[in-house]
Amino acid sequence: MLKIFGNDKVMKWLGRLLGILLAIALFWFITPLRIAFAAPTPPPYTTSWYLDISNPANLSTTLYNMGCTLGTHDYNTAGTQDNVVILLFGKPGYSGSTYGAYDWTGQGSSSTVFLSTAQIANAVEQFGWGYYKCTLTDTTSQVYVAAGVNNSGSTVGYNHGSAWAAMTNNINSWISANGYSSQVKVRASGDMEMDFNDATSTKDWVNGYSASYGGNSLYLYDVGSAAGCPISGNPTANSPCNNGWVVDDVQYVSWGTTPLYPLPEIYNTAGANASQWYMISLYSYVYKGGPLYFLGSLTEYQACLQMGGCTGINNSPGTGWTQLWNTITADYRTYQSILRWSTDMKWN
Amino acid sequence: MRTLLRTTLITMLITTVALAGWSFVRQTNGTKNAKAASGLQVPSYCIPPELAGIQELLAKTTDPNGRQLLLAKEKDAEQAALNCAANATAHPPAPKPATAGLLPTSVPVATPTLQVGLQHAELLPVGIFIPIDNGNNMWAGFVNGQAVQIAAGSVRETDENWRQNHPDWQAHPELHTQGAIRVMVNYDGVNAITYPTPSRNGAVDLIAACGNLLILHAADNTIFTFDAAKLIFVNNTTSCTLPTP
Repeated sequence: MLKIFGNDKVMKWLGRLLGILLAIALFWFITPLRIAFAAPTPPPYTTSWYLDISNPANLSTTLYNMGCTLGTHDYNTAGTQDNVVILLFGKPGYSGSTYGAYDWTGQGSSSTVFLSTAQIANAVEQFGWGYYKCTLTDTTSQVYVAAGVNNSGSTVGYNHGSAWAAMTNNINSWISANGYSSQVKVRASGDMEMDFNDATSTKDWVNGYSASYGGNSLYLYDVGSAAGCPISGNPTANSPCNNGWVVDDVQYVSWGTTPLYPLPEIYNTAGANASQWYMISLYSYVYKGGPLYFLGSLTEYQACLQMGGCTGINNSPGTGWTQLWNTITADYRTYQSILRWSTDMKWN
Repeated sequence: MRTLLRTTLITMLITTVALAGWSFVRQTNGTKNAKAASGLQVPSYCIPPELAGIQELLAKTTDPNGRQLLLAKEKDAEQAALNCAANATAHPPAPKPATAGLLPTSVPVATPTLQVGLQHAELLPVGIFIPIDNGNNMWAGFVNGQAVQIAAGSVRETDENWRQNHPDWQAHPELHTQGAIRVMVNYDGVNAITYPTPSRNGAVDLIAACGNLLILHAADNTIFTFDAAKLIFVNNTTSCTLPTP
């Protein structure tokens, strides 16, 4: 033994081996260390909208003004601003021979008015034009605008998803052809909620969108829930969520095809929603070969204030973001280094 | 021992630097590949933010299934960047005006007309209330001179521990939805009030209206009666002839 320790050549080889092993160990430990010392600072939140179309004649002007208001804000704010805006147009609809959406007719009203995809496209284009124009000499700030519907009602299915993708393509073509795409980036969104509809129809809708979106980064942001899904433990494919959904369904509609990305509702003040989405990501890691990549968090603090409060599900944007960040970064399996956006719903 | 320690430290340093370099190259290669393959100058605004996330996951994902989806997402994002770059050449950023401002909106809409009686309406979820999509989901009428609209359905579960605390849900999950109605007076959605049914028997629809008494039918065939004048659930169903659900 003493002979070995006295042999310089053996010592050098032993040292090299030890060095490599220690370096690899250090490299693997660096992620948890980075997690432990990361200071979670929520990004400034943007406002997203439940669209109240009490006067359809105002639709385009209303959205132009929304875009212009954001553009003016960015023009008046130092530096480059990075925005995501979800525009929720109610539920999928079909009237006559036209796909579209049934939209709210008043703040908090459950009554609706039908808007065709052509009307919605025109309004979203005006949002983009308003933003581009009102940023004036600010040529670097950007808005990612994602028009969406929820998954309630009987029109949810493949054909409507496909029509929504065609509409999103039309919006993008118009924005590009007019030279606004350096600052206005087009996306789509789906408020996929377990309590609104069954998993089969919702997956069909997502498949319709995925088959027709046609690339060009017209990604579909799932701004929905994981309602009733596990908040702890080791979820499997069939772990139950609300209304007959299972964990695998939620993973699929938020991440399972090429254009899908989650930007989920983190409403619950006790942190349950963040835990549920962490569980979905963990399930994805263990059974699908990789975790979800979250683009941000969605809250509805402002909408709750407008509606007189909603106790227990009125996370502030910063709290929602922090809850999601803390849960996914505490586990190396679901870790991601950036959680880009925080956005908060409001009624117009 | 000194030789061992020195060699260990030097090798460790070299290996750590090599590993860090390898990790960095793996994360940035995708974008470089896209640029190199196209020969296009890709403006920074053309790089989708999703791409960096995908490449971060790719750098640490070894499972073939996981990589397959990530590679498809990466390829899509890279192609999108190239398409954007090509478009940027064809349609450069539009000139902007020197000033800009908000546009005026037209006058508010006229007072809505109330379609009275039981009906099926295209309703939307609001807050915690989720309207039912089957059968009659709305009653509208005038009560004490005020326009009253009552939507039927359920409320979403805000208690995420409910399932855990009620294991009996597994036998009939649909029956454990909390039925509810939402009452809106004079088209005021902000101050609308949601009334849960007295017991948890699933989502409800409307099957009859007898004056101000509304008869509700739950998923497990339980019948509830709501008094639209007093805005309370009552026990009285005797004045109504109920259709068979």
